[in-house]
Amino acid sequence: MKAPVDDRLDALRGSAKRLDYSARSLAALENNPRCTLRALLDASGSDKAAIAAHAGHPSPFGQSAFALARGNVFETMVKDNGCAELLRLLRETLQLTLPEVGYEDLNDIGGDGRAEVRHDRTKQVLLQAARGNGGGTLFDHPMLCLPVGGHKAFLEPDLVAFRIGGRFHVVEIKSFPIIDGQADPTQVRAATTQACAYIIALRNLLARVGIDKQAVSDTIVLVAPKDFTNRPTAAFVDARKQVAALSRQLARIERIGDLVDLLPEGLTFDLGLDKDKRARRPAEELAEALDQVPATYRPDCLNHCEMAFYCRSRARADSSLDVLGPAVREQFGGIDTTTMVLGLAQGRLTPTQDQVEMAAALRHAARLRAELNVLGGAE
Amino acid sequence: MSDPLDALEKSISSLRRAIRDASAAGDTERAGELRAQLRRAERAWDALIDADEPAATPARLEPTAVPAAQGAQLPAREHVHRALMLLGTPAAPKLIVGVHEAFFPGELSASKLSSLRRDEERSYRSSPGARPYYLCMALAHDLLTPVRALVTISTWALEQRIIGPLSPRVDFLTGAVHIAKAVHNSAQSTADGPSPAALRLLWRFAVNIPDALPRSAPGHEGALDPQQVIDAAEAELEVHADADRAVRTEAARRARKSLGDDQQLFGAPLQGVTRLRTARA
Amino acid sequence: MSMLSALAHVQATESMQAVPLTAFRHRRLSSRPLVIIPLVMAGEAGAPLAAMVGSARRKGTLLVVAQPRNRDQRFAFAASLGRTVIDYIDSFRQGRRGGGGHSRYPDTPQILVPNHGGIKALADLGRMCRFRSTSGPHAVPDVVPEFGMWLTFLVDRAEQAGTSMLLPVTGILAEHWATGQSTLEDQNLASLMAWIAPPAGLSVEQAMADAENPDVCPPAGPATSPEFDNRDLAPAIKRFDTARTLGDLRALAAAESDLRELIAGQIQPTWRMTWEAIALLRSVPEAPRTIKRFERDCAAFTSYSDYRDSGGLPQRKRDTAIGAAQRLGWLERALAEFESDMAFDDPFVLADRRSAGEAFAGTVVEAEPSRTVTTASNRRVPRPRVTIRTQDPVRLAADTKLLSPSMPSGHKAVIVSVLPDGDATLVTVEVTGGMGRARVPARGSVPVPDQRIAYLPDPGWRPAPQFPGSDRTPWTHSATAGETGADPAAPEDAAAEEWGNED
Repeated sequence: MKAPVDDRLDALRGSAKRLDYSARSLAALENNPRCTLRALLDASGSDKAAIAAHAGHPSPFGQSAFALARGNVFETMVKDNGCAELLRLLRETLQLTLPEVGYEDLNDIGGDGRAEVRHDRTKQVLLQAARGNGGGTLFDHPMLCLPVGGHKAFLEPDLVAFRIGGRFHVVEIKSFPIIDGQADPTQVRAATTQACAYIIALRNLLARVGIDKQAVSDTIVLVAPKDFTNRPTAAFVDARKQVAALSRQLARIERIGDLVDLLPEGLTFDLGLDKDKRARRPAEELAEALDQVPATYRPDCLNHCEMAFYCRSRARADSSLDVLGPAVREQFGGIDTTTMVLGLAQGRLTPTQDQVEMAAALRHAARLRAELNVLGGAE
Repeated sequence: MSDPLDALEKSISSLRRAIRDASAAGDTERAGELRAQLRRAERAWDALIDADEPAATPARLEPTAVPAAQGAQLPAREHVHRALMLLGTPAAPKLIVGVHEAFFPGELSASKLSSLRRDEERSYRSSPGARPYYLCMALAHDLLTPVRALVTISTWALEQRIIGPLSPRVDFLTGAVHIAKAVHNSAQSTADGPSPAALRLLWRFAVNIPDALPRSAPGHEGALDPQQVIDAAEAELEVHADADRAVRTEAARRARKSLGDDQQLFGAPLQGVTRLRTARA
Repeated sequence: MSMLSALAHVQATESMQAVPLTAFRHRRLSSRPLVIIPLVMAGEAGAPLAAMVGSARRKGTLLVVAQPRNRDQRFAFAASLGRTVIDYIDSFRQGRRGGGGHSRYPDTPQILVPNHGGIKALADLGRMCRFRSTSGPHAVPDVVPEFGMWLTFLVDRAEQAGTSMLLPVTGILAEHWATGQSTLEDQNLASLMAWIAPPAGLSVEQAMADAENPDVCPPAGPATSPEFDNRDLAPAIKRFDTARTLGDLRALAAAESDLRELIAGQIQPTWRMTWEAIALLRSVPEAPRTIKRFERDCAAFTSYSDYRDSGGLPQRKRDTAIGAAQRLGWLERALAEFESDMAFDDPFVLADRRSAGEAFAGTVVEAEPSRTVTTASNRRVPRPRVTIRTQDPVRLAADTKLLSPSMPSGHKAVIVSVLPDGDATLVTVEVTGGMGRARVPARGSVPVPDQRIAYLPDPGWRPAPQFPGSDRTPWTHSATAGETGADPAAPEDAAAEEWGNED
């Protein structure tokens, strides 16, 4: 008889403190949804950075103090003086009317900054607003809460604006510039995915008292510096698709049990932390445990997953085509390793039924390259 | 064949690797030493390649000696008081510094302000009423707790120091009116007219108030008309004033009833959300 | 990517060394390129931190902005870098050849940056500089807008395939070599060089690990590594700011030289590696048709020079609808031509296209050399047909126009039929050009049995698309009159940039 899912997830994490989902880690679900290793590490609340480091592949993710400072300074500037700049933008872009200036500061509640307290108050004021008996228009740093895989994840949007066309709008304040009306698409996408988690959490909150999800717009308002100035500008970003995609990923997490059932009994990623928080578990043993779980490595992971360097070394050791990225991979549909590609290309391996066509193409390509080498082009 | 540059480059590469090995082994001290060595080597390389080309260094030193103008020697709390009196509304340290720099001489920094606030409360508690005024807190309309980062003056009416949902906007517009008046006055009374910093400050306010900028404004602070800013701000104030006043008056009444003198100045003790529920019910 | 290139990457993985993708270098390398390594401050739009610039490995100048958030220092930096670049560009504006409207400068400037990010950094710098006013309250030196316009010209031109006035070194390297890593990792100059030419005494694996370690190989920019920012740069900038606030001249000088040193340590390794990469690229022979594209660069350079001399306006912030459509047309055409040129010049590229079925090569198995047809104007012309047997997976259809790198230039043909023949394919083509003016084809102008021959599609001549003149553009496609973008000469809202940036 197998243990219930939660117990098994706790066992996977071991003695370490549970890390909750954040908007960032939820957004990351979107990046590589098919990766089992990542899904399990996240669902069990394991510390991916610590695990990767102990397995010998520390993640190089750090954020520059400059970027952090710039982000904070810009957000403060947008909200200074009763959100003066923000009001101007919302009046321009969302046709916010003149009387709509009510401001609720949800950063702390009477000096109490605990997530639960802020969440209670957030719920209170947002529901009042939704029912039409509250003066709030701008909700500064509301604390939302979304149950993910049976655990609470607290989420904190930069700002929620209310009652533009009777709907809540999530406002994301980012410090990357919109130059001549255009921003870096990767950064916009990341900001949008993050905002999707807020939209879903907000809808969830309202749904509990029977308010339709239409009350929350799936268009986000992106506020960012205009050109090279320090003045903000605003743009709408349609997040419909990403909201749908993220909802799907969240539903998958609920089915994490299916993945857990496939794991060998007794598997754990415990680091064996001693009282000084030093990892005592032998690194090889940890690596062995990790190797039991399939990972779906893509070079793109290097940009956002703490485990990426570990997974890449594993993919390299397996001669996996994943190392070379999708452009190469898609040329060899149905083949997984470089060894297999070369084996078929050189005629050393006999193709299976469904590899016959691919093998012919490979042999042809190999012949062409061999001819070229004879021509003396390559060493 | 032993080019000094080649030799240097070789040693730079090995230093870099040694740093990697030291950091990997957790030897931060050694890594630090090696980094210093590396910097020397890179400097030497730099010196060898462009011995004859001193690179242009763009940094320029701005004149820092500010003439000790009248009032420059005042204590910081006087500076803050003066700026707040001009503004007439609760304000965040950043805005107080902005107003100070726009209209008054002397040095005032935002970091100075935060220590000042603690001193004021201490001073009040040790001998209440010993000073003609205290720099104190703005109060949240519902919990009557101190509001993050807003500074006020003890001599102001409680209503003026309460922050309701509409108050940030009302105070912004009120501040705009007062700044515009101050700019107008210095245009009338001083030979040089308002300082560039004052015009910039007014411009920052004006761009965020509907119809406060001349229609043909080329986005330049020189084209500002203080009277137009006043008219525009007052027009929007009209929209919010009554509702805001009602909340402030009600909260002030409640504060007078339930808070002691010191709490009226520095806020009710923090009590979390349970109290809030009863306060709002 | 074709299967052949994909296979090359697999071979590189297996042999743990880079393998060539082409026989030639299809980009011109100037004998005197200007290398620029731009660094920017993290999280800040258009805040340059430093640049190393120079036209020889041993003549690099390091420019540093001590406080990148300070507007005056930013433009002082833009002015010094601008002067170097404009002097370099001006050195090519001489020795004009040819007369009248067709006269041209015989050479062009060439700016090389380490990676694509470097081009983006120059694009931002160009955008930041080109609308600056040289008079009024926020005046900048004359060279700043001039520099901005030239940078914008170079960046725009770089988007066009086959041009070589502004190139990322990683791009040229990856065009010629396949590595056993992904495109993403190929954008890291040090990783790419680790595969192609690892430092002496190091294996490719070791060099790859070093390439991703910022202590060994500082990133080639434009962003610096977060570790460096937090550990070294932030405290150094703070010391500089403090010294400046206090007006302490000695501390200021010390802080400045400290900053310079720190940044030199980050930028110089990339500088050296960039020049190593250039030396490596010089050892690859240049493709014959590169010269043809270079001549177009010369024409574009000459014409933009003349436009600048005539006091032309800075480039618009955004293209008009027609401008954008026109530009897209040019870009597509340039790409098709570049691809065809490469396949024509280079057996590797030709093989690449053959593996994708976009070209073919084989042996002539049948020929009808004396076939003629009568044209509409009642003239008899030779139209020989030949049939080629190929093992290539031909995916070209009848009526495709063809060129052949294995025939004398001017040879043209068109596909008549493509028929399977066992595991091979028979392609019958009709020769339509390059046979001379006589009634009988010139000697050697028609393929003969048993001859090996290759064909690829002719990118062809397409008429330039016609767009309505700007006065006839429907209003839905024109820039709104009130928009600032409509008046490219309007100076930027300088005041808006002035405040708030210092805290």
